[in-house]
Amino acid sequence: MEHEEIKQIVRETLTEILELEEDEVGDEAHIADDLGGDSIRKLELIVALEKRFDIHYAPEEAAGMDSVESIIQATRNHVRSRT
Amino acid sequence: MSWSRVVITGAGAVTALGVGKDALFDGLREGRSAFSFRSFHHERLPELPPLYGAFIGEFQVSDFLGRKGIRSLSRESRIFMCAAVMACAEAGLTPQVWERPSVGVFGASVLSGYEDYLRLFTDGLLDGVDRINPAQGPQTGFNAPTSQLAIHLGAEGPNITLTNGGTSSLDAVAYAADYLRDNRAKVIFAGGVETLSYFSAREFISGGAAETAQPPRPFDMGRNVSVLGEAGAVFVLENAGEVRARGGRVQAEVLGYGRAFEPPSSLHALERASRRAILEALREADLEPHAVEAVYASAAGEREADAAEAASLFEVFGGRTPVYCVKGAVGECLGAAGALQIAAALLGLTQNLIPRTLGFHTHDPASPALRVTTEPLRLTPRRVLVHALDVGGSATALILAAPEPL
Amino acid sequence: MTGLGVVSPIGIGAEEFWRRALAGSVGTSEITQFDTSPYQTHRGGEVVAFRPELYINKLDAAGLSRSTQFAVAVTRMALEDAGLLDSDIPSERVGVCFGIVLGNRPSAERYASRLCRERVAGGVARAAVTSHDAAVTSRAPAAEFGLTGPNLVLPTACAAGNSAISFAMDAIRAGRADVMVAGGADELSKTMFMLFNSFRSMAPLAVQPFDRHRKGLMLSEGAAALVLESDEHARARGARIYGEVAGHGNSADAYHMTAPHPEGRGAVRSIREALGQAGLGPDEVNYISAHGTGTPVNDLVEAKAIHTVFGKRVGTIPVSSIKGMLGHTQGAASAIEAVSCLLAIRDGIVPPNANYEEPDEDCDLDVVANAPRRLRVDVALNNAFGFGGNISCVVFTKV
Repeated sequence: MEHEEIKQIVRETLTEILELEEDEVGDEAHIADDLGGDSIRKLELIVALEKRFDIHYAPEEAAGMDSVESIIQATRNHVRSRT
Repeated sequence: MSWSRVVITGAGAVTALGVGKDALFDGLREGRSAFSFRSFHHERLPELPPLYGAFIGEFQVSDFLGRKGIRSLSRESRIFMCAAVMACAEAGLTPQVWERPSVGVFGASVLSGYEDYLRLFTDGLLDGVDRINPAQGPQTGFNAPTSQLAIHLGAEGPNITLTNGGTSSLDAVAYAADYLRDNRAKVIFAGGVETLSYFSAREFISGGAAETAQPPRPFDMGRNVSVLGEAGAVFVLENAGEVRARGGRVQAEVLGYGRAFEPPSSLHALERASRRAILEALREADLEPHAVEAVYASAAGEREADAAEAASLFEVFGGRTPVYCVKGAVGECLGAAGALQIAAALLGLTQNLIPRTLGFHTHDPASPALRVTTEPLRLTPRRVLVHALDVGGSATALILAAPEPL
Repeated sequence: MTGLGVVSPIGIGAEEFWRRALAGSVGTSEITQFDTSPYQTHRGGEVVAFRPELYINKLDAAGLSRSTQFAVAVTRMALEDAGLLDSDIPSERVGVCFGIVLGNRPSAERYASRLCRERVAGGVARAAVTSHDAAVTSRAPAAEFGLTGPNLVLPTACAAGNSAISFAMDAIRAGRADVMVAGGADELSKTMFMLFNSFRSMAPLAVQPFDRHRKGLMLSEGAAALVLESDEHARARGARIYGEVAGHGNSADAYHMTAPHPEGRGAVRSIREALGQAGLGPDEVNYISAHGTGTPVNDLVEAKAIHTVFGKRVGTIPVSSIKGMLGHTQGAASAIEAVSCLLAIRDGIVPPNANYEEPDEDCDLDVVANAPRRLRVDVALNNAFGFGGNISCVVFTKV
């Protein structure tokens, strides 16, 4: 799976769960501080991405995924290591 | 205890007859019922035969709740919240300006959270427990509709959810009235909600509660079983002094209530519970039975419960007081049932109409003869009794009065 | 308050519970009722050696869910303790109300899991439908003991036990009953385990309320019932009085379904309202029975709320959460904690906050660390916070 495709899916999942418009989500944005995502929303996002890509983030890793960029990065690592 | 007067200033409803109190009133006025078949699905579990009942149709929830923040809400949370938002508007209250800690929410339901509870459980079994969506978790609780409404409106006052079968929403209104009387809140949104879904429908289909595809026949000789319905109905209750101060319009006043329980060993036990609740309500309202000019009954077309209610109503009120059963039109809505009966009472108290009881045609010779309405009555009752009786043994009666100068 | 009954992971019966609570017994362990291997954590609090037939005579115990069996059992214990079992007071003046989180819902899990396994079409037995009716939690004890006064169930999440006590107090004050049995009951459920697993908020080894390294809560089961009577009624029959329920405060955070308001807005208001109703000031509180679930956020916010209400006096008011020993008994939690408050008033000793190793400077309270403390308790505050921002606080006083 290409980098751009992963990024696109992460962004779509994120905008849906946080009820935002596509252009409200910058790559640098922080989930809690910039996008208003609380801890439950963040967990929801993690579970949704795990389901979508059939991957599993380690708990420490999930704890550190607090920006759009870090989520894309972590997801890419998992998807790559799988193939 | 000092006795502040408690009044109803707003009502909102979502029922099988439509969205809004006016849709409900129009339906009742025109003698429409709303029974049909509906199929409930689960993506990965066996199909169910369709269930016969009174179901809420699709509607635009975002019209009432806005677009954000509704995605994870359960269906019952949405419906309860929409009903409350309509009640709020009708009462002329503005959430942005009210004193948040003085506004409470008292909600009732029998099944709220049940679908989400079992969906979460079966998702865990089918997908593995680490695939469960955590955002669904909070909707599994009975108190989700009540709590979500408090969050939506910024109602930081007392927040109570209760469950007590078919008397639940009368109990919620009654308890809210107690809070207002004691000046522990100024405004309380009180009501009930009930929705059906895959798991509950599955139980009711097999449970026999809705095996016959016939509209219910309250108090009728040929009655058999009740037919389930979905509804959400919420009222704004206020301390009368506050309403006067803000120039609000009163729809009805809560005069008193009574509540009783009997272990449901026999028809007589149910009758006793019913009678005790009614007499207690009359005592609290300081009224003689003849002062009650209309009764909004619990009868849903069940053989035993209707017979017990007929016996107790006859014993207390005789056979001359008009009796109306809203469940003939909207079905047995369990935790929202009492709230719909109150709504029907408001139609009488504010618009001078007691509708015809749908499904009632022939008096049951095994029961004393009540004056169940067989045609719309154009009259203006000043005092009415709303009565709920649950086959589990609980009864609650509430007395409402037409608006008077405060 | 004239009668107490408890079923808990650290003992059955109020006195047994109290003896073991003062001894600091921890009742959480590996769960045996179901397989926890798919979950991140495996521990919880189970009631062991519970024999329903000892408490349930009239009703068919096998037809009742575990939590309802608990409710009947604690009602029997509380009535017996109050000297009201088989008494001749008019039954319609005695009511019952229990608080629950999930009540009988686990009864539906059995058929739902069969459905997932076998994909059977069609329906379930009628008994399955009525077995999860939550109203039964209060109706069954009333039917067993012939109590025909006000009867209902308050499912106000984890604040439910205190909600039930509040309802009972209101019913008696308004003259709707002379005696009320109020309490809370819940059983372990796989669904709740899945839910809290998905929140990643369960502790793997120990519940450590207010500890710097606290990791979360543990789910437990149990029940408690308390007999409330009007003062006149209790005195007229010469009843032994544990204490008085002097006030309650109920409010909503109106903030978030799972997270408490960061400043404990609803908690502050509920505590103040409970004290106000009791006609007491913050200076008069001797002991705080904390909600203290052991999750990082709950304990932090509760500590903040206590600071806001009690100000400079914080360092002088002992605080403990018994959830370190019991885990979170859900709807039963605040009812069991209410029993604990009344026994603390009776005996002049407060229970320990177990598993407390290292203070958390952000929860700067006088935590009753690991050992009970001798102390005259005239006024005890019992906190309960639930999902949905449902908050209920109750004040008990010595008579």
